[in-house]
Amino acid sequence: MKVLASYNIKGGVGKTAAAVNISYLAAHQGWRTLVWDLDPQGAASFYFRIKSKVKSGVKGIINRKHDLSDIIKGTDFEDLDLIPADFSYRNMDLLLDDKKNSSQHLHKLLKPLSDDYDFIILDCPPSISLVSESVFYAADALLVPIIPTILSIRTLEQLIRFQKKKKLDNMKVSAFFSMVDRRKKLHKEIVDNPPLNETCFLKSEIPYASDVEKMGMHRAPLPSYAPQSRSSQAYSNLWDEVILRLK
Amino acid sequence: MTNLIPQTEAQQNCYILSGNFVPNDLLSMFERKFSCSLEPDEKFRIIYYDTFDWRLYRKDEALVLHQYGQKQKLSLEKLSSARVKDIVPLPRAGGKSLNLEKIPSNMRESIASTIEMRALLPVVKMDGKVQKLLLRDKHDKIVVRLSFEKDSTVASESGRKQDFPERIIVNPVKGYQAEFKCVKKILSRSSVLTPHKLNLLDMALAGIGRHAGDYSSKVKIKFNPNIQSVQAVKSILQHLLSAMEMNEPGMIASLDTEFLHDYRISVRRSRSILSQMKGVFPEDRLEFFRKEFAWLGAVTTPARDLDVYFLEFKKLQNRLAPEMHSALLPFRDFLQEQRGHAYKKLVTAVTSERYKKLKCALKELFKKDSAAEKNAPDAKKDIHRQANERIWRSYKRVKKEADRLTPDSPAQDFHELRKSCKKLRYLLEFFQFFYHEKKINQLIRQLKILQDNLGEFQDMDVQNIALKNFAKMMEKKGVKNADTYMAMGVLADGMDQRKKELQHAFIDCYKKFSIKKYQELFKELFKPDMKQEQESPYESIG
Repeated sequence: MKVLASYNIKGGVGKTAAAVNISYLAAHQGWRTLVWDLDPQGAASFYFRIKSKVKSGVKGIINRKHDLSDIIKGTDFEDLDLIPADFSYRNMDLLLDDKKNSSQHLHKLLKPLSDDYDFIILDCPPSISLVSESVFYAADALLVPIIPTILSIRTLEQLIRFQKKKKLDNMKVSAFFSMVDRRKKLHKEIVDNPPLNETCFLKSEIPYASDVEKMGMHRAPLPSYAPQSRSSQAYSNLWDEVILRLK
Repeated sequence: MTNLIPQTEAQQNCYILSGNFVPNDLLSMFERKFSCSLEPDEKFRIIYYDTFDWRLYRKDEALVLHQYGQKQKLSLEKLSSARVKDIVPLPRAGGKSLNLEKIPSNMRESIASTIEMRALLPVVKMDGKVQKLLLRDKHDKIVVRLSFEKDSTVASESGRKQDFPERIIVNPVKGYQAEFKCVKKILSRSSVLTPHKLNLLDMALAGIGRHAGDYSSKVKIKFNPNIQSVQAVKSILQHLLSAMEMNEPGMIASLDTEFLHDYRISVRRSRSILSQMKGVFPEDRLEFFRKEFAWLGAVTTPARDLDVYFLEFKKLQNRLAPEMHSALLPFRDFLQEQRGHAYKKLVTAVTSERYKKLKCALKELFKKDSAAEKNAPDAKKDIHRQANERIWRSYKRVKKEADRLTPDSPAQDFHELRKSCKKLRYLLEFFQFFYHEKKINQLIRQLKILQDNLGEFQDMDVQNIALKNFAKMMEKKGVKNADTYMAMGVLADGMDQRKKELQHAFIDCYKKFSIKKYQELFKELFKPDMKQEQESPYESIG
């Protein structure tokens, strides 16, 4: 089982779209895949037509009142399941704070699922908090969507500094450009000359496109209803690169 | 075998259809409760893989390749519970056997430890069409999936094909248990649906007239202890001939090394029973079989010896220092080439007229021939008595030969004892059903320990000589790698050393075999004069 987290300190950069679309692509290839919608806003749950509600809320999960497997819901796609969001997830930080080794807590919660899934994809809320730290510890790789702007790049720098400070050497950071509009000069310049360490950037980029935005209308992953679209192809390339890095 | 397996939850989710039923009938069953949609037909294929001797099945496992549309998945399942232990997507590939190397590592390791050196072969194949019915709730969310399988056939690898009943399979969606229960309730009211009684593998096998475990290298023949010896020996020979014939195609195609191994065991067992029970056939007939079985043994020996080298190549490498491992690779290439030649000769032999004649003569022997039986002194003796006499005599011989052995005895004496032990073992196995199961198994186990020691000694001795011969042959062929010859020399020295260790270890092994408890047990079970008043613990089963 490999755990992949779609994460960025910043919001509105395409984390959920990436998590939903690559999880669909993984399942479509036959891998048993689970998405955990950790964001209380519940966008991933919405895309999968699943109510953002979890039995006993976040307390039940963190205090292990029941197994994670009891709250898993099957999506409309074979081999693709979801742990829905819940509004109470906004308190996850506080609950983790009460735990010993809080940064390892998520990892421990996911461990019993290792025989049931090949990939677990965490759709993370924007912020850098105890939840994020726990995600960093649990994840084999961090998938970081970056809009090609100065502020967005800055968040990546913050993340890498944090990784060094916390000595999370095993965590692979894979950034990719998201919502790219090559008509914009700045976007084009940044994408063509990625800053920081180039090796942490994947080659695939996700274009800024209206069909990605339409996922909310269809309430489904983009490649499930528009498999031939340019954006679907971009997500497919992204997944191919990710799976190669995970091996 | 199959009746012992309880119906699993997964089987309860599968229904066999009887009578006329179309997908729209299914639709009408659910449309009051759910929003339903029928997907287009899709072709499917399911292939079950196992080894020729059912190693996965015996471990309560099934390896299943599922092909739907363009997708292909391989799953390792627990048969008794139908639980999927592991499932992986797999790229499409041709070929008769499933290449273990193509299977991702976790599953591969689990399978490899079960099947060891055996190849995975397709056992039964199902082809058909599947139409999916998706049931949605009021939020338009899929809550249950149903699969309607139709136009299905099952086929064996040899092409034997049979129609397979139509099936409905209910696939629950996680987190929607109430909807699933509702669907099951609706289905249970239908008079044309019956839940599976067997797992799919057993059902499919029954469709092609087979059953799991229908081949085993073990000889387990149950016959009436009061039948005449000649009938019993014919039954054993018939069983052995059938085992030889079952292994022939795999051996000729060299699917794995064990086809030849099992084939040779049947040949040896046949030779052994003919010589051990020689009084049941006229002497003039036996001479032909003695000669021909000896020929068959000899003609298959080089290929088997080379197979053993291959199977143990890693072990051979590990006897050397790690830096010398690669030096053995030219030797492996040489073995590979020799193995190819040896198998060619073997195939020529088992497809020859001479071999056909031998099989015909055997089949002729199985026919009733009163005149011939008159000329055989032991033909009409009852088999139980005859078995006691032969086993007791064979045991005494083993004891006599083993008592004489010391760690300094010549290798030939160890080889002779090994052969005697083998003869005793065959007899114990042929007639095991006449005796108390636990007691005879105890003796077979002890004998096996002794045989393992003697077998390894024989391997070391033969391989040591063979290594030197191989080195000469390689030199003649122009292999000029000095490191290779040095590595082979080191191996040969190691074998000499190991032989000495085994000769010393034999004394301990034999001490354990010859303790009073087992001597008494041999006496109790087989000594003819002690057996006269004793009855068999089993009722007549023939």
